Amino acid sequence: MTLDYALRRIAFFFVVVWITVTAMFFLVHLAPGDPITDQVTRMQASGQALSAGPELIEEYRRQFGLDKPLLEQYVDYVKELAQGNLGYSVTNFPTRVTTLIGDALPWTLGLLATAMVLSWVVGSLLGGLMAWRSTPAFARGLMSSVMLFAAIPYYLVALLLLYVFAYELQILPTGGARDPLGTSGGPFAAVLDTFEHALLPGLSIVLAFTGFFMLGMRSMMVSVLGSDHLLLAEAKGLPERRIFLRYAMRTAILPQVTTLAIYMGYVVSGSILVEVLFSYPGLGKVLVSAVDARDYPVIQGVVLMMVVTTAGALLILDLLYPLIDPRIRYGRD
Amino acid sequence: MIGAAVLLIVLVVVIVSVAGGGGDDDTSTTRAASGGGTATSSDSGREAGRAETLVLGQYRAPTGKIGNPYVQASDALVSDGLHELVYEALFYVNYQTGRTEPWLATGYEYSDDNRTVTLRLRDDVRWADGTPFSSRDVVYTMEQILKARAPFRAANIQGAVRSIRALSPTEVQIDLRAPNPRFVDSELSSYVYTANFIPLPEHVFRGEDFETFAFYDLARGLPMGTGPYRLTEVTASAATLQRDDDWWAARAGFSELPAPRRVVYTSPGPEDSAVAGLESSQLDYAGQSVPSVAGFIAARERNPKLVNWDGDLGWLDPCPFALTINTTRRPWDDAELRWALNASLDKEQFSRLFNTPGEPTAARTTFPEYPQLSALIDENEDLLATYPTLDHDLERAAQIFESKGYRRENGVWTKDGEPLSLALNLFSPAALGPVWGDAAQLLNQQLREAGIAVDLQPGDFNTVAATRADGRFDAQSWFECGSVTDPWATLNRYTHAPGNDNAGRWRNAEYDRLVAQMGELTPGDPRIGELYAQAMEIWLRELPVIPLNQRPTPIVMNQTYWENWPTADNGYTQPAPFGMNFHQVITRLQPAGDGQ
Repeated sequence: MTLDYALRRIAFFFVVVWITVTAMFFLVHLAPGDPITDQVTRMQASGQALSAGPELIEEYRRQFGLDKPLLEQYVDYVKELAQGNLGYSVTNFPTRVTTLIGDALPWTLGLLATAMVLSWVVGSLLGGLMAWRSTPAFARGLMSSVMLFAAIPYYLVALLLLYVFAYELQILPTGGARDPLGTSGGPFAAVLDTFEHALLPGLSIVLAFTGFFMLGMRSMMVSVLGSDHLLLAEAKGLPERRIFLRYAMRTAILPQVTTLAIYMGYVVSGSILVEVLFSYPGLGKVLVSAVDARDYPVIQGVVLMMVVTTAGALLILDLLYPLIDPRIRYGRD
Repeated sequence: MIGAAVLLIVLVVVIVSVAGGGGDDDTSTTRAASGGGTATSSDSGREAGRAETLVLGQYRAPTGKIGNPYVQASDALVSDGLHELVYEALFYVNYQTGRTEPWLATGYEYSDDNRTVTLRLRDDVRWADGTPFSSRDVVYTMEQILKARAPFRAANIQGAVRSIRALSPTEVQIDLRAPNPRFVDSELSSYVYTANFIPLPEHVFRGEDFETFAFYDLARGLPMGTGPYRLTEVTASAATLQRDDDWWAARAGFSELPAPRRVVYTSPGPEDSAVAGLESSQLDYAGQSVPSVAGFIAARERNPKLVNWDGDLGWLDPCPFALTINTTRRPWDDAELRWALNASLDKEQFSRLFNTPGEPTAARTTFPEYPQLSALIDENEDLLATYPTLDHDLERAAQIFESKGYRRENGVWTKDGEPLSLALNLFSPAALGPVWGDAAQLLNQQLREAGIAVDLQPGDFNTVAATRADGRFDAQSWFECGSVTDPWATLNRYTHAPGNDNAGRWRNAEYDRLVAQMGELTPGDPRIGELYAQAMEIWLRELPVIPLNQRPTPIVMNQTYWENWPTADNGYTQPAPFGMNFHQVITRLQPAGDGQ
């Protein structure tokens, strides 16, 4: 990989981020309503005859720069963004957008990234074993049943798990990230409590995505199985486990890594439904609240996070490919 | 590979748990330092158990951590217990008794011309840090409101008050710009959901920018109020308040200490989760996440300790649902056609959507039917006999349409080749719950049966609000908040006074005159009844807004741990835990034997 390629790839990353951020800025501002009217109307809806309502709206619009022409607002936004300033939340003023995102991000990453990695590992392993010729037939049948979940959207799996384990059996919490009454028993109890609360939302993602990764890995393994290098390994008398892991899996896993990178990018955006269903305090909930109230800076901030994580994951993958697969070389003959 | 994955998971869980989703203040968990003020809880060192804890499922994250009620981001309905349990109002309006009950104040007097109010304050109130509360705090807060560029919920106060001065540590005099005998009720009291005037501690605010000071630093004991609880911890999914055992009202013998030592506001999740929380008694109250009577009944089957306000029927929210008609858009600028529209709607059927299988709660008028207002409507029953708002009468509607030159073609009333259409802007299910999906279908079906071509335009709250502000609708679903004891506030909604939520742009000079005249009378004045009858005669004849449904809101209260919740049979005050009046409920709750 040449430096020239890396620089071009990094520049492309910034262009993608800029285009998406620009599109998002104009889209959210063109939607009907605005955060200030929303807040004042909510107040009026609760019985307030606001004699100074229009003046109040104008004053707040001025304070948040919403009275300026849209293009001017955009230029201000980009200038601030270039300095790493995402601004203030309108509906939570004077809280900064970075604070709201910072509060929520660890929960989203902790839950979704873990669940995604776990489903990738398990899915890839099971997918490989399903295609491997010496896997017993009954085991293949058993593994196939996991693939059923690949056909069900993860939020439906989540509803099913909620119904069984939280509503009917009542052995796991229905939502939240921690017991609101707190835990006694020290740090271990707190860890256990957090794990319990993450179990159902995590499991819904793991079940849905394991089947998905299994399918991909199985296909790749089937195409790898007849390869010469496997025949050679067998001819050399290498142990089967080693052939499976080091020769077959290693060769077949490259597209899986790409898929994982793409899906890791979606981790932030893909959390919305699960977080809403389980009242999980992550970025998805922040985004839903912000959209509901037209909190422009927060919407833009969360979307920026999504774009950066998705495009960033692909960038990192592009740069790491030559290290994973020596056959790949950028910028060289 | 699997071992590495398990290790990764354990590591992430440990990190997230220990960090609590972040760090301090700038992140998700904020905890008060012990002894944040001088008046600490006598047994604060002991953690309250479940039986001593009240768990309210109405927390809505993310919270911006705003304690200053005059900052525009402070939303009384984003509940972390501040306006219910930490702050206190000068007065609380009790919808059940119709009385304005003094709390931080002992009373008030109006001048003869209703332009001056003299407030008398209690002399034994203390802030949570032990500093005495006095007229200095009231005057400071009011003066800051008057100076502010945009004091949010106190904008009306800014417009109404000319000046304020302290007469003594326990007396203040407020000069109003115009006669306003309802100023104390509507502006200084907990009225609808919250109070517009919440006194703030002058000694804390001194030197801060009133308009931007967040007033939120748990380590410094902020937000600080005079109430019986202190906010001690805020996490991403819950807010915890601890009882202040040195609360001034208990020390003064004015009130008992509330029985719950700890109050936790937590997120109940979607309705199914809230129902499960009530069934298992993890929740004592599920907030507005149980929007259906069916949800309440399902939960009660598993937990007989659950009660609602009135049997299966929820408490009537102060803001009934109605259809605002844009009276400036043809052909709905014609009052007779508005009556035809009214006759086309089966409101009883509509109301059953909201409280199946309870009694129908169709709205006769746009007043919430609390005792005082119901009595007034009943006293003027003859008006409703002349103007039967509840009658679903398609023949009558057809007569009106025909009299206006409409002919029915292919099921739709048509005039000059143009079908009779109605742009109906409604709350979407995303805005106010799934019932609004059914409501849209039902209204569409009823109006089409009546021969009106409906153009349904559902929207989230923000879209509906924007459409309302611009008047881009023929009819729009909305909440008619206003009166709770005295009829003036609801009647005033439909006058042309500036700032009114008169989105239908209806104008009637005689009506405006009558309501203005009523506005100058003290609530309870016998002349109000007569003016009400005259104004309502005009309003009903013109029907600028079509009443739809009283708004029974399930207030599901769990008696497993706590008893003496307000119910229709024990209606000492309104029950809504999201309202500031919950302060008056928590001081009356008693521990239940079973839950101990």
